[in-house]
Amino acid sequence: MAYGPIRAVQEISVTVEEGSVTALVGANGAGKSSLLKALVGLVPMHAKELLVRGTDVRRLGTLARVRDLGLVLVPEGRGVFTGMTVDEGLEMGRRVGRYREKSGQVESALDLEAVFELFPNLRERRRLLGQQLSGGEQQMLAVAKALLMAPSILLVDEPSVGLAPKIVRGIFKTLEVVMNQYKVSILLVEQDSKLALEVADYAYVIEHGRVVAEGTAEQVRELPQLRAAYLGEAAIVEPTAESSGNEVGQS
Amino acid sequence: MTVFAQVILNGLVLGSEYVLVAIGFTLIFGVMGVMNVAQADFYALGPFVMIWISVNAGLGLALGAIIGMLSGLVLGVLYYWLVLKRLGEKDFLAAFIASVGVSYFIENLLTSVVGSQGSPVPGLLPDTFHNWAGLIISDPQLLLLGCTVVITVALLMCLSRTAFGRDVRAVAESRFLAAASGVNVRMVMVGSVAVASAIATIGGVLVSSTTLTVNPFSGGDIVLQMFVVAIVAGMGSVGGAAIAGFGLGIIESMTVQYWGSSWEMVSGLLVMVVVLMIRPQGLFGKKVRIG
Repeated sequence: MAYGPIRAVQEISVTVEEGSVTALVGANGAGKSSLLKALVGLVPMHAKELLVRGTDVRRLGTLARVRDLGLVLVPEGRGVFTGMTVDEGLEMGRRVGRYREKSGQVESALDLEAVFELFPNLRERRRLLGQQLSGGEQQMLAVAKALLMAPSILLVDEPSVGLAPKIVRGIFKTLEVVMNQYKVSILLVEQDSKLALEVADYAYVIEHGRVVAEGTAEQVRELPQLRAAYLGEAAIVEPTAESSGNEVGQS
Repeated sequence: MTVFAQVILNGLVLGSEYVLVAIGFTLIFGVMGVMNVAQADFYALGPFVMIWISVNAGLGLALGAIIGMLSGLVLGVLYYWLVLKRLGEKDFLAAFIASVGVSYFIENLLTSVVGSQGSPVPGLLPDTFHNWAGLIISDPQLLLLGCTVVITVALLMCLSRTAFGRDVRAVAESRFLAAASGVNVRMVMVGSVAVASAIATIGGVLVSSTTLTVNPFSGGDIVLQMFVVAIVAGMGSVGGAAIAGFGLGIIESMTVQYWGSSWEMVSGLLVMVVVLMIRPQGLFGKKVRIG
């Protein structure tokens, strides 16, 4: 993948298993966000393979990836239209969900009522514009809209930026409920490794556009790089786990 | 007092012409970020298509008028696929220059076909004048004014109430986010250019029906006003462009009446400079900080 002459992501091979939360952790500028954007086709990607349930989808455009494959991005900095009401934003998401129901991609998608039950705050804010919401509410709206789109894989980009950890944890608790019910997998990019490893099942550590370590969340939590960075301790544990499932991206 | 009211009324009729080119121009800018100079030339193409269908081909005024008005839909789609799609989605400067090129192309093509003199246009309505307590207005002028108001309101309603309008606003705010939200960005762009071009051709047909003449440069002649209106309103603001378009018409009409016709263009530019000094984002534009 390339932004002009600089290749943000060198070589990354990531697998997201169905029904699990996979996290990409690592310092800023490591190319994690670029990978998510490339997966949805919003920035170009020179990938060897991009497999979703075994099919190579590199040739598909953004619209097809979103509607037919259910690769749904919750962008960094809240994916909220500032000049649109909460209702309008949700309706945009619901339209994709309806399309996916009708075309048989999913059996059933969340409807507005289900989303308002998950995020009761939004119900009271239905007529407000995106820009009138608090940061937490904007993130809830972005996630709610994404859920309405009936994602197969939800790509969540830096949800914690500018938000209190408590709010982010709340959102993830909600996501957990939905995941089980609607068979959603999550690929999470998060700078706050501690938070990411709390919610993730499996994690990849990315540095300078390369995967330098991977393993279950417990294993990665014990890695020296992360312990040094976040806990100030040194311990050496080799990650050994292998995973199979949906190959999501190799770029 | 009657003179003043008449000047305002004349200004509204004159302003209708500016509104009908400027709202499409500003719509395309909002959606694609492209300053589409050729917008004004579609305005001239409408009446020519009408003449070719109804006079040259002899298929009748009604059919000619309808096809002339709606020719913008087809021309707009063509223009998008041939020019804007290749250039506009990536490089707004290239698209701007290309639109200047298309503008020259249309004007010169028309000149080589019909010559540079004005061609007579069959009026949509008989040129009957009404005298309402001293206020004079003709049927074609009333039609122009009424249609301008209806088209503007319809476009605003479409933008605020329909799914297509919601998609247009989404793409205008962030093409990236719109695409990620499952909006068919390309369809929104084609649709916007087609609608904008159709509004221009409808405008051309309605205006030429009041002047009963059209020449290949009828569009080029109002490019400056189109820019003034869109910039004063704030680029991308459709409602603002409607208000500013009528406003510019009234200002020009007053200038001609009270200052002299040679100052007609000057007054509009003066207003633009003053507005930009006080509100660089335009009267109804949003503040955007670049960089």
